[in-house]
Amino acid sequence: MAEVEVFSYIPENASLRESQGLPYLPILLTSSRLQLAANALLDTGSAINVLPYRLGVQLGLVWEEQVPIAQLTGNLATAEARGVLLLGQVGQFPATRLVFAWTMNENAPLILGQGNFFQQFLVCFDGRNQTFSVRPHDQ
Amino acid sequence: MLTEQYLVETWRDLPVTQQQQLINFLDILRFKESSQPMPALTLPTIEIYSQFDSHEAAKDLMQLLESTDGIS
Repeated sequence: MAEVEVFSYIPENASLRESQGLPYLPILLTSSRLQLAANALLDTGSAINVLPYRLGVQLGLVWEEQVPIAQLTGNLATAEARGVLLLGQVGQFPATRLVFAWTMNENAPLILGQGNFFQQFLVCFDGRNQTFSVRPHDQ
Repeated sequence: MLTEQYLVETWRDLPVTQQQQLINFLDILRFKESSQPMPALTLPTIEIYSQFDSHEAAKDLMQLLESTDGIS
């Protein structure tokens, strides 16, 4: 198994120059019902992981069954949020339990933030070369 | 009430750069009053989804993580 996995930044708009890409991490998310592959924005400034509503539905989550949490802030302050636990698998690394704020907002991106993605993984960003490397924290 | 002559003379005395700034400002005012889209010099709205100060929600989520086995 690789000790470190390296990924390239992904441009938000294919017509833009490569230097304007963002660190989107391909991740396999698993709920107790379903599984889906998605690209998640690595956001070191975010206190939490955020799951947009549509992805939660695609994972078979039922809104009424999830735990209400405190109101989110910024663009998501107007939308209700629930707490959900998922398995997240990055590359060939073992799947890890990740906790998300599942927001009713339809437009939010999938965000991986400090709680708890960056507690589980070490990430090194190389903006100049538009790459980032990821490895799990030692348990 | 200012006279037209005063306004014209004041305008003529302005440097070209300030005349340009005033025209830009008037353009913005006109677009604001109409339903037309704002002129290109206006910055676009930036949407920030990053939850940089959702500390209460973060506490709730950590508690959920620690108190619950398995996944949703």
